[in-house]
Amino acid sequence: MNAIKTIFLKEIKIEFRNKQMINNYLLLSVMIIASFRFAFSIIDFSLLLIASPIIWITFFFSGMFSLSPTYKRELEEGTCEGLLLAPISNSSIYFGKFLSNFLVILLLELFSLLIFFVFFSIATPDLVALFILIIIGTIGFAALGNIISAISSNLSQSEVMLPVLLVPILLFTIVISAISATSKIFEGAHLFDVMQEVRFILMFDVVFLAIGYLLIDYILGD
Amino acid sequence: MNDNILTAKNISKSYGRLKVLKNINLNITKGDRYILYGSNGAGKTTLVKILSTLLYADSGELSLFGEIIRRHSTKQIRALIGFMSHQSYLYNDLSALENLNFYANLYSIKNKKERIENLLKEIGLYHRSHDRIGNFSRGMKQRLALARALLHNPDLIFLDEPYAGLDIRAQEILNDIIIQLNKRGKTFFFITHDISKGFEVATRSGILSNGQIVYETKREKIDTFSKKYKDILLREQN
Amino acid sequence: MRFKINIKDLIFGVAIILILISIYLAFIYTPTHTTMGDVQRIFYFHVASAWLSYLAFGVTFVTGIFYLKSKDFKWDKIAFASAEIGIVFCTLAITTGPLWGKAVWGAFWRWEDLKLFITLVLWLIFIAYLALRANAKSKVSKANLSAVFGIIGFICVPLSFAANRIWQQYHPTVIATSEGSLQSSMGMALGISVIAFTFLYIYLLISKVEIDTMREIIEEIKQKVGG
Repeated sequence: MNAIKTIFLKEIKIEFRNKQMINNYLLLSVMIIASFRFAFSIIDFSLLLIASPIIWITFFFSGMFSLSPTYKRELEEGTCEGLLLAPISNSSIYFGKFLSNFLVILLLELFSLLIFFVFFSIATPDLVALFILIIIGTIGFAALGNIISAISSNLSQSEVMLPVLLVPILLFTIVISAISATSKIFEGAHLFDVMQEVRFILMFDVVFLAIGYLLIDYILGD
Repeated sequence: MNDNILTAKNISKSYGRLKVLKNINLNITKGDRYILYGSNGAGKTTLVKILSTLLYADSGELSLFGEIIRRHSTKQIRALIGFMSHQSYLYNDLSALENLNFYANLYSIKNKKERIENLLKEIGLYHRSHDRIGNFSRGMKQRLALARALLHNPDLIFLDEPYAGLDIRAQEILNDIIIQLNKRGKTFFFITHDISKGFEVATRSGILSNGQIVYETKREKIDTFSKKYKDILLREQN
Repeated sequence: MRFKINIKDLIFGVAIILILISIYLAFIYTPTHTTMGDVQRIFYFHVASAWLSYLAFGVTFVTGIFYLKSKDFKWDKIAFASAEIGIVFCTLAITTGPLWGKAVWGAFWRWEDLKLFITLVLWLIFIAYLALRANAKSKVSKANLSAVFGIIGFICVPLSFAANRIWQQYHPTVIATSEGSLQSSMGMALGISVIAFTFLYIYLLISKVEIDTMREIIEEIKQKVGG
């Protein structure tokens, strides 16, 4: 537990000390929302139908960039072996980094959501339900993204490989359930109306965390 | 009491079909200062990574502090090992103090505040504790890397090309620290390709060539040893 | 060694004979489907290649686990070969499907059809798997990382299948699979073609592993000679 906390705090410290990095992520969210706004400004559309996909696709792409340096930074600075030499298990490295990824992505998502409401005038849905969906969706996103980031950091062209590896798995599991549930929320449903989706998202959260816990050894070790 | 700190029996490692290490046998007892020379690609780094539990051998047996090393069972042993390489293992975005603090937490060190302060004073970087190490010179980083490796007061210390990038004065400081710690009972194992470095502080020396330890000696004259080393390097090329 | 080659040839022979038989069964022996017409005949090969791609990806999944447990490159070689063959059959399945779909549904693709959807996801995951291998930096990391990714990808597919099954309720489309009106001769034709494809798969897998092994030996000799 102590090791998880230590790694989490270290990650957060580095992430927020490098202010330019956070600024870039925020800027990217604005750009993605703005491009959706422009794209949809020239055609007829039902905002209620597209709100949910827009939100989640924005979350996905802006969050993905913050995942990319998680392990790559350690490899580039040569600190990876320093971590591996310490008397801690690899899974605590995974969970520490997962928590920091989760927090950073969640902040980015809340910011994107704010921008979304500024750009698109839409009736405010059940916010508690929306936040709960965002939180549980982000757990799975960070859990899987973290392990895929560990894989892609060892590849050449890792920035491209991260989305290539992440999209086919994440989109068809968590994101699709989250989009379905969120669009119902926008149509006026409440949390108990979308319990089926919530259960699936939670199932994937557990599966991805278990995968990370079980397989991180094989990625970080020899 | 058994003085064997490290015993390697028939350690082999290959990457695919490429055999990097072939039947390495090594025995290091408490208080040894063992230096292993070898050309680039002889398998030095792989060996030191296996001995320090970063990698696992394909076959053979390694015991550290009397315990046989197996996958996933090495956590406690790692607390007794220090490792310093030409990479500093330090975070450029953190200050010197934060870096040491981070590793002190990972190693669950008691009295960490005191310990870190003392170490920073010892390596002469106390006045720069709060500066980000991204601005440090190579020599300063290397000194801090040494402090990091010694933080948890390990009994067995591995040094992988420790002299790389150090000026003459820094090399002398490093040698002094090695001798001093050795007097306090610490054991050292270091590897380098440069025959002109480190021989004088070693009590035992070996040569690694094509994945095998081809020569081992105790307190030989440097001239005889370096001639031997050159012969072996020449043979490697043929 | 001699014995092994014989087995391989034998499998190849059986595959060829069975494929010829299944071509005969599919095009001549079975009656024309009453509602779908001749285009239904594509179904025998379509189902067989879809089944084969699931089998091949499953083999990649299992051998990936074996590799991680044993760190024996033999398993990695099989995993890679099987993934490549799986991609080929999967591509066949998702190209033959729309040909049939166009004639029967009037559309090449149905995004709300679960089987199509999942097969496409599998295809994407294993294309990503091949991309991962192409971008790996060393042999060891290639084997390790691709095994881990193959396992993750394959585990998620059935779960995604289960999850998406729920969404189907909101897209109430009745998909006329021919299974409902399958005559016994059609069932036999399908069975034979699945078995034929399975033999073909085993033959391709053995050949691919042999070729990769040879390629490795050549690389090694090249390095020794200094070329």
